[in-house]
Amino acid sequence: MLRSNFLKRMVAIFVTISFLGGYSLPAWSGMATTEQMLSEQFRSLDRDSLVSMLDRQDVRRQLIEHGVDPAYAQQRIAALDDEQIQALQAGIDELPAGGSVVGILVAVLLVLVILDIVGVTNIFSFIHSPK
Amino acid sequence: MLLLGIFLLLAACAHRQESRFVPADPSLAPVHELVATPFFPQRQYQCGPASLATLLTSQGVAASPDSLLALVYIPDKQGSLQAEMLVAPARFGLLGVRLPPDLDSLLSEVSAGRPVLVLQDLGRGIVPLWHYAVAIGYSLEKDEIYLRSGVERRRVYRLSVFLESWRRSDYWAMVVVPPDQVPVTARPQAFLKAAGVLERLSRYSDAQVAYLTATQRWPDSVPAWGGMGNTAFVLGDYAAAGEAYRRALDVDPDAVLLMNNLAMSLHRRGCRQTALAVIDCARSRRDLPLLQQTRDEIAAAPDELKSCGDFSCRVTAP
Repeated sequence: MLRSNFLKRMVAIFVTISFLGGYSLPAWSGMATTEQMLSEQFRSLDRDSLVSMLDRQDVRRQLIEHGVDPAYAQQRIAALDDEQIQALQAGIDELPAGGSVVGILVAVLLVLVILDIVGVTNIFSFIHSPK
Repeated sequence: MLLLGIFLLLAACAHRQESRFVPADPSLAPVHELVATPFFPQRQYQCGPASLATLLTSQGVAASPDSLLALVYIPDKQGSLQAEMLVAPARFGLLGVRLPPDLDSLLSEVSAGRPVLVLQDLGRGIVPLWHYAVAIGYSLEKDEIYLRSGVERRRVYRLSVFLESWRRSDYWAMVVVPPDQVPVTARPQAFLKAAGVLERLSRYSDAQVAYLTATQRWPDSVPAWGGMGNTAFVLGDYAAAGEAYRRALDVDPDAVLLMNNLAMSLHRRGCRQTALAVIDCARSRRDLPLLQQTRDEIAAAPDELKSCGDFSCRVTAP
């Protein structure tokens, strides 16, 4: 038990160190960060900082999976606070991502076509819904 | 396509019976427009980078939408996340500050000269179609708001229609300011979060300016003084850091995290006795691994007979 926990930690530390070049922990050794003061709760303090770092790696992986250049993914997660990281970690797919305008027409058109096909509406004359 | 256009028009008309907007601030200019705000017509799904470039350029930073793709665009989502939009200005030494979620705040910032980046849902409740745009003007007389949006340099919205599209993002809005300015409507938490981004990116001097600005605007903000102290600490000015922590403790005598950092700043100055008094005071209030770790580190230091002032541990009612 003790051994496997120890091994897990070692693997986690190794993974973390190999990914986190330039993470500014040493400067904060022994110090409470402004972020912790701002959150006015001790959750982030009690939480294993290693867990927080692994969350960051998970978000980094998600960004890369969604097409972000790996060279920038690390920089991008470094700017986010723990709260933001946790929101992203829960799933980037669930969050709104502002982007579309061109897509709007296509999407609305698609919805109307579907409504037409199932017979809810009758907007397009070329679609014959089942009677 | 024509039918679709008619459909959209009808949907837009459905909202037009609502009453006019009356601002909470009666001194708000009834008409205002930031006509000089730059415009970057968006390409494809890149309204996030285009809107952000508009705000950054308004603050004198030469940033093109293309240069911001690597910071805020997620190719497979064909869009940008709110969290990343907020933190991106810190890369240029600026603050991305979230506004309180209401139209009064948005209009106040525009009338104060700041374009406001908003997140809208243009899907009219049928499908979510998230879109970033920049509010640059309004007319309460005409009941209109003006936005740099997508490929339109000046998109005109009836206020009620705009509000409906904005409501679905919980009235999400942000502005960009230099670290020595506080947006007129900003709440301390939102401003300090923006300052925190500079700190996380190791831009300590910029962050310190932001915290100084915050302490001037909100002299009773404990985390503002805390941030002031932390940036001074990292920059090696332990005396200034200690001074800031003490200011915060004047406001909140029970803030154990500030005591921890005050003890560390005293420790770095070689003030072992005072540092121990401070950390023991913190430990009498709360049992945290951080406090114990700090005490161990201070206790291991050589005893120096250096006078660093007193620290009175205030007794609080149980």
